[in-house]
Amino acid sequence: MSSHGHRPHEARIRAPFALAHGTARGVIITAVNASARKAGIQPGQSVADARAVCPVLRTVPAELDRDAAALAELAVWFARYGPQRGTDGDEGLWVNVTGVGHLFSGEQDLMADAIARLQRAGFGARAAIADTPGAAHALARYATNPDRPTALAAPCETVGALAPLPIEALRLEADCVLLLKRLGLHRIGQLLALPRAALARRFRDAPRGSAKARKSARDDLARAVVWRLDQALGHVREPKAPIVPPPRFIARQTFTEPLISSDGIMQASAALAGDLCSALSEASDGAFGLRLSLFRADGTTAHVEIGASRPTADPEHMVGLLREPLEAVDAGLGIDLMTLDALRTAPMIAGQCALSAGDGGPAGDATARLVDRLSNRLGAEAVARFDARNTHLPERAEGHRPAVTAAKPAGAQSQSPQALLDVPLPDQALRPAFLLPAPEPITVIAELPEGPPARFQWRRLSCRIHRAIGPERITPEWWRALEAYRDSEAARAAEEADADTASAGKDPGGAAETEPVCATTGLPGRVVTKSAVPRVRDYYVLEADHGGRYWAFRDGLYQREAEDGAPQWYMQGVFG
Amino acid sequence: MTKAASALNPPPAALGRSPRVPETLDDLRAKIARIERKPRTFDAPADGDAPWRMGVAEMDCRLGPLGLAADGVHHYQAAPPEEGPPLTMSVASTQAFMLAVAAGRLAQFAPPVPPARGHAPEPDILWCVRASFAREFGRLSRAGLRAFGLDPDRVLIVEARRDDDVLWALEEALRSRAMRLVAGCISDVALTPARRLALACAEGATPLLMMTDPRASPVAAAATRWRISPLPSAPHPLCADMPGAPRFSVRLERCRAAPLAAADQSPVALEWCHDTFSFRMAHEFSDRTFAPDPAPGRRSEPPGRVIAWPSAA
Repeated sequence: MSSHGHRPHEARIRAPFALAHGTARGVIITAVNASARKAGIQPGQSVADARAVCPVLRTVPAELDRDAAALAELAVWFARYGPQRGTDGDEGLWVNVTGVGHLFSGEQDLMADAIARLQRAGFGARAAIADTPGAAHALARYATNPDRPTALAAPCETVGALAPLPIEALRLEADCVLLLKRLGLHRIGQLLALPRAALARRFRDAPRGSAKARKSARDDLARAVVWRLDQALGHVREPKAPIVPPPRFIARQTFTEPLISSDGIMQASAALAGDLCSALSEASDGAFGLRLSLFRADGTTAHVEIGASRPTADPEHMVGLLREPLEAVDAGLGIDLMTLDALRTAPMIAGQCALSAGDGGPAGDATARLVDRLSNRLGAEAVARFDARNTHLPERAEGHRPAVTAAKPAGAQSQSPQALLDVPLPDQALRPAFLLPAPEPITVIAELPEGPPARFQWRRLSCRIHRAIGPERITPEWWRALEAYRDSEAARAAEEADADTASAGKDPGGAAETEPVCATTGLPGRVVTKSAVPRVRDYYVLEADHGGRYWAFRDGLYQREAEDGAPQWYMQGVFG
Repeated sequence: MTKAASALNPPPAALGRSPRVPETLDDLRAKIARIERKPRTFDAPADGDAPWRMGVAEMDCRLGPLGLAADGVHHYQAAPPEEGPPLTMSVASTQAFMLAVAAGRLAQFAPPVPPARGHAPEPDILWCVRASFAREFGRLSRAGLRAFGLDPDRVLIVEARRDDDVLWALEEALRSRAMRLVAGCISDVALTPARRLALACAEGATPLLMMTDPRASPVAAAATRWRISPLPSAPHPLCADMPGAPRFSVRLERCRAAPLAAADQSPVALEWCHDTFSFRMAHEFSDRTFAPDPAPGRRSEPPGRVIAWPSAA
């Protein structure tokens, strides 16, 4: 059986509508709806041509890869009509329904069932059943129409069914079809009437070019036509590769008496985890995403989803992860069905077990379990590892990444070519143990034009500095300076445009208010100036007279006050 | 007999004069204590079984022969703000001190095997704080950890929303045995959670360093309790305008293993050396010239032995 489908949403849009895809030849229409087709628009046309025909045509960019994924999913669902099934081109499906028809009280009813189900799901579809895949392909596309969406070629009547169809139905290349039509061959029946030797001879004078190229192209054409014809008639085999859906690991258990107590639910989930894990370990797989679905007696469902940092096939660990979220689940009238579904699986790499059960130092497995337990209760973001960023600005260089996603190690970046830029800090560079989330403005009494502060006030406490190390100069990231320059240019252009439009009668006072946050450095307290580029920072380690050490910096230089605005002091971190 | 007793359990003052901790007897005691606490069948001594010491004689003799308990709760508190530095600073100082102590503990283990290419190293330390605490007092910084000899890739950071979550996370981490050391900051710990944490430490054979608010009540089941505040540093040896190594004023308020030795509540000034990753006495205190010794013959004798000599008469 072969069937031929349209997109679900296409049928619902009444106005002319098409999907377009940019190619080397321009933007080409890939699919159209019924009213667009009525207006004379065909897939393969360019959008400009189509608009000329139908000015009200609405187009949306086609997402070909998502279409293909959806088609593959639909092919998996077609298992109800036969285990061997697959996708046929980018708009068709095929199923081997040999010996299946009687289960649906006849092959005609089988097709009707499939089309009805597809229509309910929002797909327009046509279907055909024939002896060979080639014939079914041809019939599904050229022997059906929206009013009569099915075609059936009775066994051994393929020749009769194919004869009236146009030669396009043979899955030939477009230029080949054109050539055949030029030769006066419009129907498959005409081709069938020709003797095979004569068919090949017909192409003798066809393509232009050098004698040798002409000959080889001619031979290819002849071979393609004969081959496709033989495929459709079943004279040559046409092997099809059925899709193999990924294995799904799911454990389910029904209960005659609905479960109400949380102990019962815990025990049942432990049993499910045991079943799932034995299936997983048979396939040498592990799950790192699990969903426990609890179907209540009143028809409602509760889902519990958990994640693990590395694939696991250990029921104890799964139960441990499920315990916390299960406590929050309301059993309601009782639970009569539970399923445990492995949402994401990956092959498990067999690990070395500890020789003795004693303390062999921190084991990687124990760490992964701890990370899983913490992340599932506190949230994945709350449990983090340090992440190295490729910059030297302190607040940007520091980052956290969830420990659950630790599959990508911090060291992996050092293997990327970009990491060649990642120059380690010099040994002398002093960095505080604790960094404030964002630099906080401080007021200082400092020497001009440069020098450490003698006093500063931070968080309403005044400190006298008695010793200082510095300055350590950190220049802005030049590439960001470039971006900021472009942004500011764009902003200025936009402002000018705004001013032009608003000059008619808008209050000029409203436009003058700007957020007192520097857009480029992210530092509060400085109004965006015209040349809002990041400034040079001079960092100082300041030791107050009580012994506490601070890490503060001056953003900007007094020497460049005229160009960049007045320097501003910030507190960034504290040493121990 | 008096002499023998004083040699076995020498007062800190006596050790101050000869800053060498008796070894033979202490090691034997440590061994016996370990055998009594967790009987082992035939295991060879593993990493980290040696007594965990601060590395400074003045501190170690107050901690007693067993050093810091490797399976106990160590409670740190910043000095209250009225005693000197502002709260932000003494909290930072206390946390830094905890990092330094943690670095000392990790140094007892064999250096970790570098992970296979494409794998993240396994974390050794769990550092757990409330998110609001981290926002106010600063987040642990990757670059700053290196000053303590800690590898940032081996630190797991947990930022929980509430104190209860911090307690839960600390307990989980301790019981999991996955970490070599667990550290956390929390506002206050009630009696029952404190006891739970102590039990979790013993069960997981993992030490916990815990900081509470300066005015919080003492944690009941703690093995040691400390009060930390920053001290002005000495001038840098090469440049008098620059600060030298950071200093801490450290007061051991309680030590369960050696209650008598810890009875001396006077603060000790310790310096953290960023080059050797170890503590040392602040040198104004350690380089003092000693008072003239009343009995010169005694100093040369190693402590820990019973020696009889004729009476002065």
